[in-house]
Amino acid sequence: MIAETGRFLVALAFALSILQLLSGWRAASIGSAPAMRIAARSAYGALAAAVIAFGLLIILFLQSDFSVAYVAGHSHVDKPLFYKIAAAWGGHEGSMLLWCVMLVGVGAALARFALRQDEQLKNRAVSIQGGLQILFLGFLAFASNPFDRLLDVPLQGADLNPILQDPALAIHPPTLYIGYVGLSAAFSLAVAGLIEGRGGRAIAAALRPWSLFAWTALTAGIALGAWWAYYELGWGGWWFWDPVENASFMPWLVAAALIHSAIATEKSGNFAGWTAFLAIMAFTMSTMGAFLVRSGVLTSVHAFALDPERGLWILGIMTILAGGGLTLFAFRSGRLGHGDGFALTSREAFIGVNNLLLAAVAGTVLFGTLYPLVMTAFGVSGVSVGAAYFNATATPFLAALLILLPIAPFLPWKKDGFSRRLALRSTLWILPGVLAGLWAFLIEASPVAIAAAAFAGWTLAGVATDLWHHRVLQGAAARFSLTGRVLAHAGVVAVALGAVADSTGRPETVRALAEGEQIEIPGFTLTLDGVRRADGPNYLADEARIVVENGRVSELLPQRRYYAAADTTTREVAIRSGLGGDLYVSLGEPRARDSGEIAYEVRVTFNPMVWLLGLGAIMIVLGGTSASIGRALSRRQKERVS
Amino acid sequence: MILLAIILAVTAFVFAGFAVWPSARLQPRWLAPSLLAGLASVAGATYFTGAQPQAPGVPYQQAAAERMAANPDALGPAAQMERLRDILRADETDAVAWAQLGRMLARSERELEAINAFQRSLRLELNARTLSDLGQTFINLNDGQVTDEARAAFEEAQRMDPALPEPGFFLGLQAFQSGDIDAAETIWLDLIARLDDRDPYKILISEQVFQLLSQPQVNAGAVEAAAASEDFDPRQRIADMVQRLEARVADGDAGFADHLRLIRVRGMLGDNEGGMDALQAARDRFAESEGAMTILDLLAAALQTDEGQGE
Repeated sequence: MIAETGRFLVALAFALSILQLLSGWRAASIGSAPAMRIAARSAYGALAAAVIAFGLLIILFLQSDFSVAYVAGHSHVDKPLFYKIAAAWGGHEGSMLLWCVMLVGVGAALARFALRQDEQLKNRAVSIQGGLQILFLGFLAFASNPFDRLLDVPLQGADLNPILQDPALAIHPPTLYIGYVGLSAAFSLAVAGLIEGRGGRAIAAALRPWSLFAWTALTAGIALGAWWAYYELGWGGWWFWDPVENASFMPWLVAAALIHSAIATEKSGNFAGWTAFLAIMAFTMSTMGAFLVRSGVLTSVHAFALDPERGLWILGIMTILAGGGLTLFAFRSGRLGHGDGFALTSREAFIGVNNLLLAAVAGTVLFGTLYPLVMTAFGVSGVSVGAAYFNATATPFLAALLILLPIAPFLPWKKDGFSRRLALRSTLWILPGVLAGLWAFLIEASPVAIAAAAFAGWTLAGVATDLWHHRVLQGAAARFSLTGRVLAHAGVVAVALGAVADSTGRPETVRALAEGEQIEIPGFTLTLDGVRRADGPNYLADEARIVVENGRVSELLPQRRYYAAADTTTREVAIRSGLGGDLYVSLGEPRARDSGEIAYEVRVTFNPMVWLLGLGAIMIVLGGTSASIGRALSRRQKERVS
Repeated sequence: MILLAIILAVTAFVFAGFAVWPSARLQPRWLAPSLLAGLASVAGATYFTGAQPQAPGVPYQQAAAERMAANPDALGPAAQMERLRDILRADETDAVAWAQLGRMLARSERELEAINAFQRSLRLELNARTLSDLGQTFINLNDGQVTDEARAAFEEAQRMDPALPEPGFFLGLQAFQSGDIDAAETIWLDLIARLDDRDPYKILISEQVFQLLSQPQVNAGAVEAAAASEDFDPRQRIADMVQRLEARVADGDAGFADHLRLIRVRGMLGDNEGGMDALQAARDRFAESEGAMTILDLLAAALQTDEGQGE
């Protein structure tokens, strides 16, 4: 009964989305107040239906009702409660339902909070959002229903993929989806603005807060995914240039360009067409991420549905979004207006260059991601594009971004602003750049890493100057905005430095150790003190006690787990973090030596200053949040004044 | 089914009613009911694409209760295993259930899980049978090799219950695998002597011991090298081996294993009379060993049967 009720609620959310599309459209076209209210109520109703359906799915997981195919495929009665709940979005169908919950949530939020002073644009956006809901809820209801039943009920569930049974990965998808789906608001507002013939400034002002919020969530989601990969996959990598990672990185880059471009558009009307184009592309790129993960066109640790039929559905949705959005853009972008113009050394000019660089990175990543797929489509198999390509193509653009980043905040809008004072100031930033480069040289970094460190030093000095120079800003809104900008920019620098430090990491040491034997790496002596059983509720585990000596003595407890239901073995690494970096230890297979002694494969590596990556991500997220608060305060002030 | 229909109808009415309420007082009057009906129809049509309202939900608690109420013998192996797990979910301290589960898992070749189940049983209650099963699972996991962990389990099992036949056999196997044939022979012959004549394991173990002890002791490398030479004659090699064994038996230097090899090779060559002679020599030599006599009696019966069939 629970499953059938859930199924019906999904159908109801689908039907309400149709009503939202039609009544929103009518309200925007003829200004009908009842139609507007029906559109809003449809959006709220769809949200309530989707949320309750998702709640029912979680109840089915808690009850371990294996008559539901999705529950049987992704759960097990012995799984800990937290992962039973997380399994609700651990597979394709459940995560698609979560995607839809967020999509209808955005629809309801648009109906409730967006554009109180421009009801027509708001209603059109709510209607467009209803259209997006129809596409995705239709896909859910007809091709990926998480409430599908099994007539032959299995005795036990197949369990969730063990590498997904991790706190970071339980939180990672919802956060990422807030980002992906949050960009749908920017899409709907941009399309609505193009249909309504609004000027670029109005569209930019409308979509800026939504884009900023979505970009912040996307940053958090990507960072959580990288963190998970770092400690769960067992070899210390945090970014693989995996096609699915790229699929999240591309909308992030486009959204980063969008939030900067929208500032310029709102301020002076410049880049209006570009801003609308980015808004359309950002959500299209998000949908492409969903396509890559769910279609089966590629194999990845992230890919959880290998089903070409579903892939065709998502490809169809993507075609509608990109085709419809860009066609509209082609016909209507002329109405967006041309803006006030700007000088070559104005802030707009630097934002323009920033956008070009971000777009260039997104373009190279897109090319590298799709190239193997395109070649396969032409019958050339075995083509792969690896980290070497992405590092070589993306790094120069990102370095250029770091160089330009601190200058823009000191430039005026529209007019020339490269003063002698700014020239002097930026000359002073060279010193920290040289020092950072020297530090990278001393820790034996590669030439590219040394250059990146130098650029990071320059940028950090510039960001600090930005904070100092603008400390006199008055009002909470301005202060929050400044804090957001400084934190986000400094966060980017921290991530760059973390990546530089990581690239200098020493090679992994792998050795088979019996009890009492040691591994030595520079600065550390590790002794295998013993291995004991440490079984969990749904896994069997060997846990090694490794004593670490480097002036002080500590212990690390890496595990090797066997999940019987999924018949999968995982490594739970042990990490000792310090200011200098992470000592990273994983436990592998036991092997019997000729003497009969059991030796365990132990992998040890030292990852210098990885914490900078985490710190950077946190700073960017806090920066985005602070800027969002600043934006909200500013809007409230304007509403009060008006 | 009726209850589900009522729930779905009420849900549809509440949600659709909420959404179309602003049109309630609009003209034409049929607008609101039409919207309501339209919404419900679209939702209903979407729902019925793939719906199975007749299929009941099966929460795990309910499924477990049905299994507990069922006759265990009427359940298949997978359901029986799940039933044991149900019992253990309700009471983790049931050592017998853990041991039974371990045996079922071991039979399904899920050795890692079986070892875990046996160990959990043993943590609750030390039991010689469970220790022996644990040892055997270790052996299965290690492709037939008696590991140190398995040996420790068998030693403890034998200490607890010397009458249990398997630990003795596998401890002998451990000595045999480590190349100490004499120790293996001693352990096995003692074990066979200790077992009651009515114990079915007595014959099984005697047969196994004969098979193991009578294996020709050859150096695989030397055989390979000899086989590669042009003048290699397998019949001549076997004849040489028989000669060597006969000489050792005649000199009184032969151990029990040598006697068994001689009996076996003669039997394989179809020389039953020679086999009986070798058997008699072994009987004379090991008359005081009850274990050895048990094996020799079995061999005598087998050779006589072969002879009878030959006639």
